[in-house]
Amino acid sequence: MTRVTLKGINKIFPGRDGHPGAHAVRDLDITLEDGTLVTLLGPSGCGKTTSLRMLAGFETPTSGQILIDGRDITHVPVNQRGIGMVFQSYALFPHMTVAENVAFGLEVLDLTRAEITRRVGEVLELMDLSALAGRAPAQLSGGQQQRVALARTVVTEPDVLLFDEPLSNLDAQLRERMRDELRLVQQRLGITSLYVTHDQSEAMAISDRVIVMRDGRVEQDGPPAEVYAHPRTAFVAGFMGRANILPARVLATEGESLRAELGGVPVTLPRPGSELAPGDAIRVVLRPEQIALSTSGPIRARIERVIFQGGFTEYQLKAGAALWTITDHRHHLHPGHRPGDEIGIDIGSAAAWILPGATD
Amino acid sequence: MTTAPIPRPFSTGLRRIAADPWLFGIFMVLSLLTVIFAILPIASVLVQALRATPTETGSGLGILIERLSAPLIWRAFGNTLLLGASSALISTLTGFLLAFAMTRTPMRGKRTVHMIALLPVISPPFVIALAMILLFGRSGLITRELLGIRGANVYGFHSLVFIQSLAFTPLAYLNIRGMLQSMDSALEDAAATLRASQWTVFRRVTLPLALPGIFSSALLVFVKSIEDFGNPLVIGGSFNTLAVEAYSQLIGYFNVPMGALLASLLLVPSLLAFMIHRHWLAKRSYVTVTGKPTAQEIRLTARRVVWPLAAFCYLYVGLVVLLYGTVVWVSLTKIPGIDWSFSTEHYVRAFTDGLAPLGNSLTIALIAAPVATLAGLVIAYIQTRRRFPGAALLRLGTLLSFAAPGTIIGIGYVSVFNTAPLLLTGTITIIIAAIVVKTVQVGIEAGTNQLRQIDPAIEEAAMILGASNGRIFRRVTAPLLRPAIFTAMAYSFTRGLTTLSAIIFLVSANWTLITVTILNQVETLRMGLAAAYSVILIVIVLSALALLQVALGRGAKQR
Repeated sequence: MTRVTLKGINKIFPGRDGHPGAHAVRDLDITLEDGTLVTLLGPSGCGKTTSLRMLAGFETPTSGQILIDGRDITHVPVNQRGIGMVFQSYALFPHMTVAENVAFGLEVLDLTRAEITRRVGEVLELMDLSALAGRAPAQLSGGQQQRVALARTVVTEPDVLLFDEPLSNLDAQLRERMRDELRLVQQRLGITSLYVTHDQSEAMAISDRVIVMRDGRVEQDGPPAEVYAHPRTAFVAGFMGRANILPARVLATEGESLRAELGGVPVTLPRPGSELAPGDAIRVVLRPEQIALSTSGPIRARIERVIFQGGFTEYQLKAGAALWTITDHRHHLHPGHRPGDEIGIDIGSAAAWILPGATD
Repeated sequence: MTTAPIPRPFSTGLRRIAADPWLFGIFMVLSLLTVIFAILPIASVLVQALRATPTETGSGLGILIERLSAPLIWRAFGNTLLLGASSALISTLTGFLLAFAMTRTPMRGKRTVHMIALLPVISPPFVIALAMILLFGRSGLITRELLGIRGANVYGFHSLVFIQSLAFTPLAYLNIRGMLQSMDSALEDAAATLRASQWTVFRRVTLPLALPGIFSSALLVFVKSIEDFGNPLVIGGSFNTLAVEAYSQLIGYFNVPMGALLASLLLVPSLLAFMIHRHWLAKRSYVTVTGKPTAQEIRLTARRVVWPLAAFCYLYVGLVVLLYGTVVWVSLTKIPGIDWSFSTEHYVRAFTDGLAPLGNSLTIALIAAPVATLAGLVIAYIQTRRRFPGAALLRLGTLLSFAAPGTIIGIGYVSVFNTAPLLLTGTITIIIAAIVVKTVQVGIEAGTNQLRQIDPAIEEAAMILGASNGRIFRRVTAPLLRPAIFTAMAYSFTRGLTTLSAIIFLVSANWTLITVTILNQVETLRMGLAAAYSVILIVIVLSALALLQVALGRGAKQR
């Protein structure tokens, strides 16, 4: 059982030599439940890496508390926290072999030679690295280096595992494979983990929970599907994937649905939780894959560009002043459209998500 | 949403100290030593330059004006600047041509050219002066034996410039070669695809990008040239420089204030050049020198360009071989200039009567090199990885000691360490201290550059795996610093054996050194013995460098 709690964490980097300081993390409250993998997701400078480094012990919070199973570790030195970390650059020791890298953390524990050899052998076997034990890190491919970094971290059986953008140095295909491998190892060992990334698809694929951060604050915290489908702000909506975020105006509310004027056309939308009155400004979030082109669609638009992506075709359209993106995943079933075509947009009704107000 | 204002941490500095009390202790000791062995001696020379002797009346400023009106000062000052500028110009030009030919043309025999071109760096600076006298002196091999000229005058400005240019060309060559090598050849290729001719590529791309390296070399050679003591003394003749004039005022006429004033004046151009180098050039470097040469495609193959460049390189190498060959040959002749028959008697003498100074020099270099290296690397570590409060003093002290000419360090040491509780004159300690202070900056620079290339995450990874600071330094940082250790050790050891300008003031009856001995032999015209000593010294330095390479190179399989 390992439960990690960050309570009321603030981090201010003091200014130096006339440079203003930075308030990198503001009032951060998060809990990592036992055995789960939680992702901190956000653009660069949002405070996600600083939060991770505070949990690791490389930075000290300006205020707040960090607890592991109720024990306050806010001021415990890095090397006594029992936390493992996989670095963005892997940070393999370039002057040691793969086996020596993996053994490093065990040597610190003052184990016997035989015990170290046994455990290094085990973890290399687990990670499919046995054949590379005698190699230097420079002789390995990116994916192999990544596996060594993970092996070196898990061999010490840490209570908590931290990942600092571990896949960002890999090319696209390898990244997906390593992502699934990381998740598999994490689930098999059941280690409570915190994962930092700026890649939303990676975050959704790997996490039990996603925490979207912006300007040092938590913007939204929830399961990936929930955050994707029901973003609390336009920022989250845009960051979690491609979205058409369109201004609209409430016309009337009728039971479970809502009548609104969108692009000059009255449409029916699902009614949100918050109270809305006729005349209120709202924003409608529509994912490109949830809407369709239809000759009879009520919103009239002109196709500007057609981009074939293999698995789907992306259409960029102009309806009045608004730009729309629509992806067609069933493009093999019907003939495509061409730039310049006039066409209608059918927004359906179930999948639309309403954000109150004209701005966040 | 607004947050309540959060109190700022009152002192991050104190926290850094608390996190690493041991390292802070070492830092304090190093800072104190820097004040005692670098800042204090230099300050004392400046004070002495202003102090009135019993025969003088008046106060500081009046006396200073009075002293500054002596014509000998301004002649020496002018001579020094003229020499520095001339040597800088010629060395940099030669160095550039060598570096360009080595990196951009398919010239033959590059390895040989490289090895021989570096010879002047590892030999005592005045070996070339010795060779010049042997070749072109009154009874010189070329002037008298070959051409039959009687009374040829080798002494003076022209020889001095020639010797210094030759001696300092390797510095410029190495510096500029590094610059040209680390330049991404895609830049030159890109220019070529934009239809620039090879001449345009050179003029508009290569040369501008190399310019910071060229200027930096010129400044470096300038500083080295005006600091040089051995060559001007041996071959300068009536062409007096500040370093030599300071020495003769102090040792010859016991005129301490005048010696101090001349040394202080020497500090001005040195510091100026050094500051320009640090603050102005550092910001104008377009090339990040990673120490990792990128692959260079050789595109320049036109004969009319390659041949003249190659000829120039071979000529330079030939000159170096001629000069050093002469020293070797003379060391093996009975009485140079009179009896040219083969003889090993100079070596026999060097190894019997003259063994003491050789042993002394070796002892001192063997102690000074590891001390300077360790100090340099620890300072580099503190300055890049920890920011302790008060680190500026340490930085200032080490920079000052590097920029300050040996003459001012030597004179400062004599005056500061002459009385209790710092009574060190005549001991081995003072000589070692001078060498360490003069060479520690190389360890700092090499260490800093190396540390900047080491991803901090590597040390963090070791830390989060549970390693203590001590274990991290021992098992991770130190092994990764191996190339810097090599550079620092090699430099400190070589300087320790071959330096003259500072230690000439510090040697005593108990502790005389090989360089001083060679100088004495030259002055008493015992050229054979001087040559033999020089050859022995070069052999020692070469073997030490080879040993070091083997010791530190083993196991360095990384990267």
